[in-house]
Amino acid sequence: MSEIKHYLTGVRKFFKRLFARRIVIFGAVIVAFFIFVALFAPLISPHDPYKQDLKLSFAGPSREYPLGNDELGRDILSRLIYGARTSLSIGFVAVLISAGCGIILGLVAGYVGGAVNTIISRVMDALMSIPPIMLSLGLGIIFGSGMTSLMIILGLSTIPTYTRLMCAQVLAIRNSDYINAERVLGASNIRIMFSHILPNCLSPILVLFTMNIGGTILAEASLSFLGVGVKPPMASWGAMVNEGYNRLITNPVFALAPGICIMLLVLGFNILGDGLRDVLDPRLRGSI
Amino acid sequence: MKHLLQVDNLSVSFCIDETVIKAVNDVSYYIDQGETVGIVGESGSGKSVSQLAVLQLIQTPPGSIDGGKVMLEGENLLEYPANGPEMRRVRGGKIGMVFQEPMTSLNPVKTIGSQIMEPIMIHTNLNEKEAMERAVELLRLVGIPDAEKRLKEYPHQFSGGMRQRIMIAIAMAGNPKLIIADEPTTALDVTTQAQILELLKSVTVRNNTALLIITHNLGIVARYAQRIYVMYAGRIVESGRTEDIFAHPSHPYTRGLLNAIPRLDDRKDRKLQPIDPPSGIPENIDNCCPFLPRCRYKCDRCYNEGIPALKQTAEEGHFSACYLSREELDEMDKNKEKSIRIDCRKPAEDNILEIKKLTVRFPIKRGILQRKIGEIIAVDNVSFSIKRGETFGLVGESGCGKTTVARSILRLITDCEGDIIFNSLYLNRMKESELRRHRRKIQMIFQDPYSSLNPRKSAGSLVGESLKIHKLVSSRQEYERRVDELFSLVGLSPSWKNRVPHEFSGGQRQRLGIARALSTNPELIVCDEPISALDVSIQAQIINLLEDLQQKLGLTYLFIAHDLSVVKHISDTIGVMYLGNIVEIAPCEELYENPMHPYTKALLAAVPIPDPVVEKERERIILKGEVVSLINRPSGCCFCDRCPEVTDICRKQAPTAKDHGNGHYVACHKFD
Repeated sequence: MSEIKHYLTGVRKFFKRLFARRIVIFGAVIVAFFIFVALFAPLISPHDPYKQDLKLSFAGPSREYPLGNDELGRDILSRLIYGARTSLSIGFVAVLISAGCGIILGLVAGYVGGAVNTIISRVMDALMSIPPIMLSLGLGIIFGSGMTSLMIILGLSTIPTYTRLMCAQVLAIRNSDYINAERVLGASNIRIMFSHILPNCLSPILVLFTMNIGGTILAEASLSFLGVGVKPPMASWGAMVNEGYNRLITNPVFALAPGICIMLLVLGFNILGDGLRDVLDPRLRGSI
Repeated sequence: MKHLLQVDNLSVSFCIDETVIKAVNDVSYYIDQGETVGIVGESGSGKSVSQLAVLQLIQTPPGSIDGGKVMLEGENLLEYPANGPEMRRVRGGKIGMVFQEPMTSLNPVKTIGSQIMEPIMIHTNLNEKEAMERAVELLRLVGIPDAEKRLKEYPHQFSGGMRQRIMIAIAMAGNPKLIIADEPTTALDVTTQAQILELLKSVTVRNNTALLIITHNLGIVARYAQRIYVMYAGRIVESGRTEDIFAHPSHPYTRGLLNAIPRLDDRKDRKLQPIDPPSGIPENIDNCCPFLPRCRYKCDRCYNEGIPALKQTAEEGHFSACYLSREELDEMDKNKEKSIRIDCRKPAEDNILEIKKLTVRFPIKRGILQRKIGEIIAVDNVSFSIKRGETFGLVGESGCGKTTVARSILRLITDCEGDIIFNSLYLNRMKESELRRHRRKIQMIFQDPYSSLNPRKSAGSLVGESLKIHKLVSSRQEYERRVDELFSLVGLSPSWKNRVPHEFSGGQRQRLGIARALSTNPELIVCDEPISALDVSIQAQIINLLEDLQQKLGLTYLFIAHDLSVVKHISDTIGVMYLGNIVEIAPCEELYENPMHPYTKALLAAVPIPDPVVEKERERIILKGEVVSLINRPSGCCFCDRCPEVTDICRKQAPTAKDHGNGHYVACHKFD
């Protein structure tokens, strides 16, 4: 009982500190808004985002279509709302893939050390030295386009960051006394790694996780803009920017509306990540 | 009479998370020209904060000075703005400060010369050349050889003791009237501590500077201070001349402290009397004596009549803040339990652990390819054995290899030569998987109770972990019962099982660590400095607990510590280590009565005894130099370059340990 109670007061304190800075609330509201929109897209969107009506091609904003229609006469607002689904799900899944792989690799590299650490670290260094867009394009050629491969591509290209962070964390605590105490008790290596080291390394990973979602959404947009992204007719903000780009002068809404959405969502995640870092990093505690 | 510094009714509070904590409460004291005064108290008693408030060095917010007067030579310092020119003139100019941690109180990117010259040039009219000369003079004064050359060196090129000497030089640079030394030797080794304190004393006597020593070590004040203020929970509870306070302690807290600390000249059967943990906390705690919850003499007046004021006792200038007079306290003491330890252990004759020629080397690697360019011999050919049921104490200064020995025994360090034989099992020849089964017979208690408990696990699961690992229990009920039993065994309430470590105090955390060690039913427990991170009044509780558990469970301890008084109190046999070698092994009494090795003698002499009468008559052996680094180990005897009785053969040939009867082994050429 008291464990749950303790946990709850901990959560309450955590949010109190997290929202001590007003701007973090702003970030959280933006992120929550987009998550809401993505979850309930079918209920919110006024029209079918895939329904074409060539009569309405490039129609300007009207009462029925507040942001106008695109080349094929599809409602831009509805496509934006469905685009939030694509962006967020790609962002989350890709980051989950990279965090998952990175955490395991970093844990192994840091805990086992020696040659294993050297090999993993060098491979990660090699991955990092390839320009991200090049890497994604290269992987895109291998995996082909489409949502699943996009998630894998984006996931793979950010693994090194997690591996490095995790490895550094593990190195810092693997020789601490409480880990030694476990060893003295006779605990196995697997037990020490997953039951004792991993939970103590997660706070900075959580911060990186939040911040990376923003970055991944941005990368998805760039890749879709370059044509490696999701396949049409699926709605994605990046692809919409790509389509609207040619008519920036005549119909600026086409490109600006998805662009602004990307900007807001990334900003939201970055602010939230910043806030999390301030709360979770004990060195910064008390300075805000 | 005018005092040099007079502090009246100083109050300081901190506001943390919207709660106001009164760190210093209505504190008054004074210090005269050329006097040495000690302020004693445990961590959190407000002793450092009150000094920082005098210099207005408190960070605001969260801190604030709520009231009081600080009169330095007739000026009230608190009237000046914290960063105004007047305060800057006082800091470094009239009051110099020496901080606790010499490793962090010097700026690592500036030469020590420029750091000493800075205050000289700020507070005097000397130009750069003259300031340089003065800096050299100061460095010579604090006993740093080759002063001119070393001015251009950086802090990392100096050892801890040397840095503290430099701090003293900086504090002296502005020719201050008063030096405040905040725990100046807590971070240093015992022999270095003696050097630094002697230096502070001689420097201040020569310049007729007043010295204020803040410390938790009663031995230090007994040896050096003329007057003492005892602080508890932000208040001064007793003050007076050193002799008076030690001869007739009049406040329950002071009495408790003196009964709680082990002394070097103790009788072997003395039982320490820890200060009780808080109990019976009154409702209107803010209006009561702050010591009331822990006081063993409390009476009705303590609850009803508010906070007691300091009032004079039988001696001139000796004040105590307690309603009860000393006679009343003495009367109540008569009815209390006798402080004698009954030893009913029966040490067996067989050895539970034998260490044979243990040598641990750490390679020094450099460059990209990590080539080995040399090695450090951390433990050099160490042999000793521990009998079943006894306590073997291992003492030595930092870097002497005592922790490395412990970690080798527990196989946390695997690269070592020699044999570790536990219950006739060769631990060092076992494979990791085989070893894991035998692990539970040897357990460890760690030094730092804050870093040795996983912060994310509940107390119950920390203690019960090994029960699961080794499948020592068969059912959930048995598991819970065993955990409860372990909690009660170390004096913790089983209802606290679900708390996480940071909800416990330091002493309670250490109890958790002990419960964890006991959970596997071990035969041998390695205690690596188990009490050095704890407050004085808590230390006694843990020592008593360890002693009780030994009697109850028939445990064997390997007790590692740098504090000789504690080791003497708890151990049956003692080994003294220096630079990776054991220089002397002897039964406890024998070692303290008849120390043979020059290092043991110096070590014993360096420990201050909390009794000014005894202190005056003791022989002082101040060793030259500091513990040398393991990289520059001297050839021949490891102690030869500090030994006062060194001869030619010591420099050429390392001595071997020889038996001198009664189990007394010494490695010294003098006794060949």
